[in-house]
Amino acid sequence: MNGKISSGQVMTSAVGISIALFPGLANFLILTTSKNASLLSILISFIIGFIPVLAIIYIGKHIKNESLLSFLKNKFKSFGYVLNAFLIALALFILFLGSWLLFDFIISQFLTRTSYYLIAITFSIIIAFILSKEIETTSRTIFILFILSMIIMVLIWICLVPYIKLDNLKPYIDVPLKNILKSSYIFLSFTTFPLIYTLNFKKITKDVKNFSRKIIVSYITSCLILAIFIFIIIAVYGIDLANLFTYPVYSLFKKVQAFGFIERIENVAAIIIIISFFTQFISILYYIKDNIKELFKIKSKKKIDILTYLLSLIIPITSIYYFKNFYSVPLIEKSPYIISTLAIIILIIFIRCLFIKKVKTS
Amino acid sequence: MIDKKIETIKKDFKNSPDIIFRKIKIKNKELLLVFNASLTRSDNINDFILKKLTNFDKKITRDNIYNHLQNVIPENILTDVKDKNDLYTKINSGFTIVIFENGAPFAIETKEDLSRGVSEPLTEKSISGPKDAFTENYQTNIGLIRKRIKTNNLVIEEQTVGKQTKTKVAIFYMDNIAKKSLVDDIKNRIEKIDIDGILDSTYIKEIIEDDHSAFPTIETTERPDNASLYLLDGKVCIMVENSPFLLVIPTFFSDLFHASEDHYQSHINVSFTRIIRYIAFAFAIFLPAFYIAVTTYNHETIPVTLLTNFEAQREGVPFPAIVEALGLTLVFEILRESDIRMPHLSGTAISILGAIVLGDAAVAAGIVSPIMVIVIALSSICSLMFSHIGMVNAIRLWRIIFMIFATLAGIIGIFFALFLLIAHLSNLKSFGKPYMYPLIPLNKKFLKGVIVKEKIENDNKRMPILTNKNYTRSRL
Amino acid sequence: MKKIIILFTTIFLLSGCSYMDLEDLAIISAIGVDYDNDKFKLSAQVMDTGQVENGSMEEKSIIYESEGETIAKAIRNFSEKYPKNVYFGHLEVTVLGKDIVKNKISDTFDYFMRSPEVRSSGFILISEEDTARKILEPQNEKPNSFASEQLKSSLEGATKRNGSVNDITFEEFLSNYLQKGIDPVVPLIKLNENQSENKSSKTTIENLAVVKNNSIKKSLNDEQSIAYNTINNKYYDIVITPKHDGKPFGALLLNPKSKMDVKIENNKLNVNIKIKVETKLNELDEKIDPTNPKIRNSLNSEIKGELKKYIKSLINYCKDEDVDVLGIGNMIYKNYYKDYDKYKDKNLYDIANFNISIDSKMYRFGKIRKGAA
Repeated sequence: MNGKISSGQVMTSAVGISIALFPGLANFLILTTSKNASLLSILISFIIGFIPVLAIIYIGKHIKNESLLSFLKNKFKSFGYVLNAFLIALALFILFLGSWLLFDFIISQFLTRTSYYLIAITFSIIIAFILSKEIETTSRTIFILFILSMIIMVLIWICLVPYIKLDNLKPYIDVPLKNILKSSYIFLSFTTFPLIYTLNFKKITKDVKNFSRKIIVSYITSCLILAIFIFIIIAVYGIDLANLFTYPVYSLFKKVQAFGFIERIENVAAIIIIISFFTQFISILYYIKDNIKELFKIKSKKKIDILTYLLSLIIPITSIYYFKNFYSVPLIEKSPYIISTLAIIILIIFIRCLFIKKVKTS
Repeated sequence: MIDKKIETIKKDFKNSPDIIFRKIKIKNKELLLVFNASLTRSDNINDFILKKLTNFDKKITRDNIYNHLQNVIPENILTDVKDKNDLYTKINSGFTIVIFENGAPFAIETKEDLSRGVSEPLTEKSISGPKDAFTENYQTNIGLIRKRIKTNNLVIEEQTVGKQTKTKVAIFYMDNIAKKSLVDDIKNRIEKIDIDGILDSTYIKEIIEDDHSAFPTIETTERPDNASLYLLDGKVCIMVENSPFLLVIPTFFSDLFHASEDHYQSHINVSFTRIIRYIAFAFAIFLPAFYIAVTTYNHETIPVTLLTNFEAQREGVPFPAIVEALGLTLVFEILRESDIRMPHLSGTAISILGAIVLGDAAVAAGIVSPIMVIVIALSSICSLMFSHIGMVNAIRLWRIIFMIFATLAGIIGIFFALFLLIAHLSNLKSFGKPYMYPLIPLNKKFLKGVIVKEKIENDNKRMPILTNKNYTRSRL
Repeated sequence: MKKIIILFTTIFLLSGCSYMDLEDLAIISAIGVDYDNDKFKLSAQVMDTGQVENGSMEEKSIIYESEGETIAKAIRNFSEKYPKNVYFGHLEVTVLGKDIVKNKISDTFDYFMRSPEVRSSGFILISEEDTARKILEPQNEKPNSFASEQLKSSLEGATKRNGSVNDITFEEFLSNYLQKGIDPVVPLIKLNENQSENKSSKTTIENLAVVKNNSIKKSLNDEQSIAYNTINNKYYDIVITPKHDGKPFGALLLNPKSKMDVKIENNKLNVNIKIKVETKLNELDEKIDPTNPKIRNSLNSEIKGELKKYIKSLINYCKDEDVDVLGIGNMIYKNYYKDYDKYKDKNLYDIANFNISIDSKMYRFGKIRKGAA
């Protein structure tokens, strides 16, 4: 049991990676682009999204007990380093975006006068502390926190049922087809493409034969969670009001009122949002740390610890600095397209894997 | 010759007054008995040696007497003495050494029982169930377990630890249940201990445990029925001479929520009590921090009437909430400590004084607000609900950590501290086994059994992490 | 070791930055907005607890006032005059004064919706004739009463029991305001004209007003409000007084379950309103014997006729004032999205064909069988 995690824990990491960027970013992008037809666009992207997920699983079948970097090195020789650099750059971008969204959420909704940097430093010290232990600790923490957030999520869904007015979902399609396709592409790019980073966990999974099944289950789970949230948002508020909110999920929590005494729980329920960011942060930061460790062949534990602390401090601080001084709405709105450059990388690796198979059988 | 031996022994024992040298003359031959008067029982000496030698009619040699005594002394307490160190060890352990002029000396065990009798447990009380507890006597303790588990499968392996104290350490396990790798691991670690003295089992606990943390990773128990239950589960117990506390390895986080009463009452009532214990754990850790966060950062979490009540109560108090909370916690801990030290007779007056001082006078003087007293008192009482003292202290430490985080960032701070707590708990290992089993790695049947007690008929399997030989407990 | 260092450094930051101790908060439970001389005037009712000599706590209510060019500026100006920080986390009632209702209704909402402190479940009241300041002022006899608590509970009670009022929250108002084809309604509040000695209430909440184009139109009267509330299933039980043989009697309407839908067939707009409600006789003349099935049937049909009269009166109001209170335009938008443009600018109540069917069962008579007057 040294350094091995179970596939259930991989599943929770994968779900966290998929849903983390939604509460602050993708929710309002999707709702404003394809108003009442958001559910339809989610359905379309769920079906089409199986293609990248199955491609990732197919690539995963060729990875035998090695990390992503060594797989790329073996198959692509020196081009593998270029691909690897792209993967790290995009991982840094995802963390960059995610940390700004998290701190913006916390500061704007909760602690309106605290400095961003203080919260960022506290958060990153905690993450680096957790990462500097073994991988088992990290994945167990994510697992327990995820179970906690699922329980709260289900309770909130049940408490919100009296407020649903199915009438608000009509008219079902009120935007042109171009908008529907655009928002389903946004959904796709956030939920499926980052899953490539879970392939790095294959080396340390105990029951590797369940790996592909768990990735599919995690994809379905994350799509289900997001679809239910968007459904409840539109059904409770109506699309015109829901379009106004920056954090529609948080405003949803404000509405919960059950049994006469469970009310005003939005502060406690916000742990769901924070846990999803936390999960994504840790999983992708683990990938970066592992990658750099292998790339530069660092062996001593002390240096790796220092590297972890440095990375987890630098990323949030630079993102806060960037967004405060050069706040650019285009960057936020174009982020799905930046993330979808991952699709090109997946495509390249996928085609290469097809060739391997063909060479073997021929 | 014999006098010379007396001189050497006296000098080696530095003329200690309790070493007695007794010369016996039998038919013109002299025997020397050496023993420590404070450790031996004179009746035994009389019974085993002197009476048996009165009518001895063979020739007085060492071997004749040795063989004769072997036939007539009932228990096998006649041993050879190997060398000088062994001689001194045996004298210090309560043996009587019989020294001849010619021939090797031999030793007879005549130990005095210097412990209190078997009485009620002082720390793990229960209403129903057996009420005997371990004492400081090694043999009695072993006997208390043996009389509950009467099979050959209960294996006891003994080791000696401590250069000066030479304390006996025994490892108990069930041969057909416990994992051999765990037993070997424990034996290796105990062998490696190189220390002056072991006075209590907690010394061994601190040396051999995996991770040093506030939460106990090795449990101690004072009751033989608890110990037998753990042995039947597949755990390993360590008993140290002169200590009434038995160590149980491995311990999981869920074991700290059990009390000894759980096994002696109906499963429905016990399930309810267990759920209350989990809620008490949450209250004890979160309540003061939640109160601080709600009154300083997140005022919208509580209804407005409660908020105005709190505001009215905090009107005259000069300190910020965190200082008040930490101060009250400190006072409460001082009260708890002084309650333990105070002799029983004057205990009640002091506790009344403490209650009046804290309760009425401090509030009326405007130093603390009444709601803070209620919060801190409630959280401390919830933490005292656990039978294991290590758990109470761990909760106290983490409660303060949560309070500090809550002052920093309100409810968000509580979330961060919660992440830290869960990471810390997931990191702990008890002899290589994960501390949060059966939550992680997930085992649904035992997870349900930990939260809600099952009927005895349904509780028919042992945990796979503890055993790989004998999974079925019962076939009801 | 690392942990200890981190812990010690955090102790020095023990105050945090958004730290707001309870004593510095002024918890605002009701706010009134007026508009005068190009400035917004705010009057905020603060829940204050003070200690009286014998140590018990009494609640007082104080009014904070300030003014500014926008609402946000006016809120900041509170700190110029008053010692505590205003806190809107528990805001429950918002009263808009008579100057706002002329053409500034939508300007007031942006601050309250944008601020993360304010919960959007607070109630809105509009006053047509008085300023909000006078409505929120505590009465002279009872300086310790919280007007906001009374307003809130009388709003909620009146909605459920009276039927001519409706408690509207921020969210509902905005939701109706932003949707196409429906105009929101707001309850009206006014000061009682002559106050007698022991009267414990000085304000009355009555009727609903319709908001369109940033100002309010003529208010609905009692009958129209009852019709509106019945169609929107907004009350538990209310009393109406139809007439039997010229004499009014009291009938209780319980548990309305109404549905309204819109169908467009052959370019004709049909609106079907189905109301299903239980009725119970509350008060009757002594000569009427409700155990007689013929009389019971006629009482039943009188009740139905009365309700139909109310609904027709509401329809006529909407036709005359050119407002769409029932949301017919909204339903056309939802169900016939493509045809909505055709109907957008027409007066729907003029061209629509209303089919009203009322299903009311009367089977309860109260404690006594025959009239006892």
